[in-house]
Amino acid sequence: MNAALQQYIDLYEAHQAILCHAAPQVLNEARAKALQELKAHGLPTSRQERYKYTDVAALLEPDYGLNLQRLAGKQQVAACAVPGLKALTRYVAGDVMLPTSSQVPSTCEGIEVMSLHEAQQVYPDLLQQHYNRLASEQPDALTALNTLLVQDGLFIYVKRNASPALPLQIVNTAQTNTPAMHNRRLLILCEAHASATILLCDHCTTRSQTLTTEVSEISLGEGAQLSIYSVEETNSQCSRYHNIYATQQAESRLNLCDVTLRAGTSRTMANVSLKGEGAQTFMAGAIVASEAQHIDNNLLIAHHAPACQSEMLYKSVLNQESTAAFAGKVYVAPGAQQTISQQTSANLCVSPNAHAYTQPMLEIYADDVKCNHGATVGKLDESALFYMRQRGISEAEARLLLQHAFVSEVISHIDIPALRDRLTSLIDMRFRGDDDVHCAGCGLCGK
Amino acid sequence: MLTISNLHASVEGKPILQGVNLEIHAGEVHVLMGPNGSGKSTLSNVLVGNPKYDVTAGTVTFRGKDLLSLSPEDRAREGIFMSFQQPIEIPGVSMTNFLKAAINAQRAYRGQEPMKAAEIIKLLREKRQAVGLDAHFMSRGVNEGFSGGERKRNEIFQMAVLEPLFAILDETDSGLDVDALRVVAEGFNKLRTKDTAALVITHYQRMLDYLKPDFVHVLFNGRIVRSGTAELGYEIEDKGFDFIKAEES
Repeated sequence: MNAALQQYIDLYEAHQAILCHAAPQVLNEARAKALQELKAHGLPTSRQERYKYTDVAALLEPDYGLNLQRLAGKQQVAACAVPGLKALTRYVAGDVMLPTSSQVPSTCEGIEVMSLHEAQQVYPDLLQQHYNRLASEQPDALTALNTLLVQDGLFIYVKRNASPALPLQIVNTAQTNTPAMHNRRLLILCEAHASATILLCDHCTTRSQTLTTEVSEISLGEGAQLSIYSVEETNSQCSRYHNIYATQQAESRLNLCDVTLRAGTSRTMANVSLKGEGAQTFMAGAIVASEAQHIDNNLLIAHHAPACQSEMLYKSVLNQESTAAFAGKVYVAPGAQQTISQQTSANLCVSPNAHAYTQPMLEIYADDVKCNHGATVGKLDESALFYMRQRGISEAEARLLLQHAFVSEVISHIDIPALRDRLTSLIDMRFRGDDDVHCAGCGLCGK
Repeated sequence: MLTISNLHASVEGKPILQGVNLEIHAGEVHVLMGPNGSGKSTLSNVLVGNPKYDVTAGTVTFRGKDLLSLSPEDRAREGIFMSFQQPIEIPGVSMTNFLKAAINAQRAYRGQEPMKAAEIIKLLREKRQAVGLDAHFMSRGVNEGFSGGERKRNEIFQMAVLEPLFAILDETDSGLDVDALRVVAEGFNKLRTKDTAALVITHYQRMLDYLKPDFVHVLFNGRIVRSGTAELGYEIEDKGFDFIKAEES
């Protein structure tokens, strides 16, 4: 047993009673199997294909504390404001959902957001049926660790035919003053023909080390449409593992778009399963990294039904000693004919010390498919730089414009104009070297 | 305005310019002709400071300043513009943002306040219409998906927006059909004043017809071997470069 893992197992075994006492029943029921799995398989090593680029054991090494008391602390519920964006907003401090007094407006009927704790009371059957179902289909050590230690989470329920007028914004903030581990859980049910947009914001307001494990389980019913935009702007002390499991029924559409502006280590692993005919998935990532940041996207889209379409579009701009890894796999099952898939991974290494690893993969068991993939790793286009300088633009500004342009393709896919504008200006600030990037009007950081 | 003395330059260690001398005054349009490989594009690239070209000897002064000591952006800000032979595509940087950055960088250099967004939009619309460039090009990436002719029009459009004192047109006419050539040449002619000057590289008589240059020079083996009026241009059009090559060898 790896020592890094052992400390979490010890922690669990020592505090099991407290941990389970506060948590909903359905979460407690899943722990035994997770523990068994962790004990049997330990932590993944870089020899395992899906963990080739991120050293999990090293990142679990620090002695992180768990928030066993479920204290939200003196959390300031401040707006993570996106100018011009009206949203239903909910706040999560570390891994504790903060109570809200704001009601869901009538234009947003059909969407419910609650803690898993509340969901245990209100929707026990749905919780029983869906919690840890997708996540346990393919064993993974980080999902198991999350399942073992998680104490609460969010349940987002978009009912059949519902189409809330406002996007749902979840603001996650780590505010701890001691090294802490946050285990978050998202369970999203989007029933048939429902349509919703979710914005996930990740912030960190201290310089203490934090480790976040996050497991999201997403189910889309027939014809459902769901967009999830995730914006990460933490700091170099934050490590985050986000494991996403999604399943889609016929004619549904899932957009997953990650924008990583600042983080220490951030690894996203996604397993998307297209189960019904004509389902579509679009996954995109815009990554801006510097210093020793490490951003790893490990994605699998499995086409199990015919006539489904999927696209992966990941673009990274890497400065200093940063690293980005992309491993995207499209699996086409026997019988999944008329599959159309596209994988694009493009990386711009602005510094000679930056590294990009890119690995698009295809595994196809059907013969009538159209699957393309492309991967590039390059540096700034010298002739474009000169062209801009000839018009009077300084070299520094020209570099900035080119870097910004590189990731802007991803941003252009975001269908909330206010968010798109905000991200455009945040990316601009990021490239201009502002040490910390903050949302306008945000009081979270006291700045 | 521009004085080139004994200019020598090389590309990747290979000498191209071997002692160019040229004097251009305000109000003048000079045409530079010459066979392929004679160094025409090298001369224009050296003047705008393309880092791929190395100046090995000689001087260039522009309005009293040592041009060769300035960065490419400062040369542009001093009022030198080059219409590229092959305009570069910059996906993701819209024409509007690109020109906004260029206009304001040049204004800042001259100690002027940044131009307001509304004024920029108005200026771009006005100049765009003058060269017949559709509005939708403004929101596209620079030269992204532009045809060859549209790219050349776009160069003249940028020139109209930036109002340089000295313009270099590096084969702006190549790849243009008759109508597009007329639009480009007329666009250029509108920008001529007694305070501006231009160096135009061309192979075509038609361009001479439109531009009515004050001087024509022939560059051969990296040196200017003939200078004259527009008549020289027509003579070359008529006889080709062979008679010059024969005399020089």
